[in-house]
Amino acid sequence: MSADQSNTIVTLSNNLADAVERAGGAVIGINARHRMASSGVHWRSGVIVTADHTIRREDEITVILPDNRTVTATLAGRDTSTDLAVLRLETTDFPTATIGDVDSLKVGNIVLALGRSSDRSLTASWGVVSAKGSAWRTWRGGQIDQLLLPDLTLYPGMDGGPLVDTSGCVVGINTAGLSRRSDVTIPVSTINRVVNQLLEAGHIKRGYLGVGMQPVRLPDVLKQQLNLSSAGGAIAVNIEPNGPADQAGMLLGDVIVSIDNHPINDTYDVLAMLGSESVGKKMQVQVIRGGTLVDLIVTIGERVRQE
Amino acid sequence: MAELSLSLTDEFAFVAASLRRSTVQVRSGGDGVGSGTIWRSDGLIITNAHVVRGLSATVELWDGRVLTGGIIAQNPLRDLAAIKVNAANLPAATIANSDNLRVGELVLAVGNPLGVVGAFTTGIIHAVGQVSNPKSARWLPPFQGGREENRLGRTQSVKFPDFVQADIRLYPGNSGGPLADARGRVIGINSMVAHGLALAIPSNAVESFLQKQNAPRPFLGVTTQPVLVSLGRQRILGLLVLAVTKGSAAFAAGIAPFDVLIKAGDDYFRTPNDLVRVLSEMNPGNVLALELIRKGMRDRINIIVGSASEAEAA
Repeated sequence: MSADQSNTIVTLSNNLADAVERAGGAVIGINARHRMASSGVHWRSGVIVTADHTIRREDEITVILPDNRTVTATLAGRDTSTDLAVLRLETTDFPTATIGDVDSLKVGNIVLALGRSSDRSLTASWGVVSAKGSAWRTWRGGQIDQLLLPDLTLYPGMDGGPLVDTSGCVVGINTAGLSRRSDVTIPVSTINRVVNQLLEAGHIKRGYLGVGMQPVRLPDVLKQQLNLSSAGGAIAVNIEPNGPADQAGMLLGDVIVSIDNHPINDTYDVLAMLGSESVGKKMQVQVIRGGTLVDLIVTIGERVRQE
Repeated sequence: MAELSLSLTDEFAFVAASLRRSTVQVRSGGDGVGSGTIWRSDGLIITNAHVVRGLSATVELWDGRVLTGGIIAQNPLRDLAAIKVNAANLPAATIANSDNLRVGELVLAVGNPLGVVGAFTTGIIHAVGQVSNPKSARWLPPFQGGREENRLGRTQSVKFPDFVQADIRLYPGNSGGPLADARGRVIGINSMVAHGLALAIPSNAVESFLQKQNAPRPFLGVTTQPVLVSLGRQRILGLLVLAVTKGSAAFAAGIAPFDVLIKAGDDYFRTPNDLVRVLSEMNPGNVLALELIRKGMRDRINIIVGSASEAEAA
């Protein structure tokens, strides 16, 4: 078999190996759980990003650098809702990741997942971008700016490592912790947002309403009478004394149908309105009380972090 | 752009066709169908030791010819076997150096998984260096036709940790077939999977396996039995010497029965096979540093490795 008869394959092969080599300098191994190490990315100088579910202990975390050194790291902050954790390193004399452009990535483009195993060697698997989509909310309530689904195998220990394009630029972080069905990639924009907040506050702020809710269906008659766009709502079944909703005058049995003009169909829609940006904001909460619409102005509080 | 992708897909088809011609079906001992790789055009075929049983194997070539060959060499520890068939001008694979692989480079495999003849799969090199989790690897057994029998073999503790590790899909029946680089040159013999990861025996290990068949085998001249010994507060594996062959290398170096060997070269023994493994990587005339415990005292002995033409290893 002569070499020139597989020129394109050889070029592709060299490109892939080059991309791995270029990106691999910023891929580290993390020892923060029993038995199995995970991977992480040197995102900014001295800042490591990884998948939160692989961090099982908050002390005595060590990381394996690309040049084989093992150094200790401190946990700077973690957010279970987006499955991201940030570690701080004192050692900074190794490359940071080159961040790529998720928007120009197309379904079908070849991508690589990278990791670093406990015996220090760089690991890789390959595949294609399987799907891209709009923003979505994780089962823990975190906001992911866009869906990025790779078709590849994440072998044990590759969790928390980067997804890179064929030029070796990082387009996200891979995790098996956000979906039972498949591994997903958390895109760059979400990582930057969460990392900034974690470095600032150590955690992600969540809005607090102080209401226990259940989803309800509204009768068609009522829907027509009140000229509502949707047929569902969230009924208040518990009101925290002195909580934001209590102070705004919300009563047990009120059915929330819109917040700041966004229709509420389910309790899930209420949670979606209570992202970190909502804390301290005054929001217009429209409820049905006694068959009529009542507007309440609620000052959203901050949910106290539960350890 | 369209032209480029057309040539890429055509190139894959070309390399696949060429690799398929060098891949054979191997049947031996009624164990189902495995794969083999034509290593030399004079009839030398390489497969896994776990694919063959007994002294002969039936080999079916890509062109349909069925040949019977003798198993001329076997190393169960390294999981390699060599079959010699009586034929000339066979389409031998091109063999490449397996020492300079890069993580991420493309790899191609051909084999007979699940009864499909000449199945072609693609992937990339997952990691270079030693297998990090050698205890979880499983054999890819020959394909048996039924369903129950086609589960992967039992978990094996890998005796030799150097494998080509690839992100590529392999199934029972792939064992013994080639793993090739982007040019279609063979860099490994597919042997095991660990957590879905393919493990192939490096082509360089195949070459040294073949060279060892002609060369005199390294030989110490000791018969040993594994024992646990206390070393300070640790308990480690030792090899208790039961007998020493008269006139052998061990005899000349003064090793005596009831010595307990604990270290060969740089490493303490971790499995009872380690002495054989270290020895198999040496040549007669090399100096092997042994550490041992004699009458409760640690001692070091340098031993000039001998050769065995008449006796078995170790």
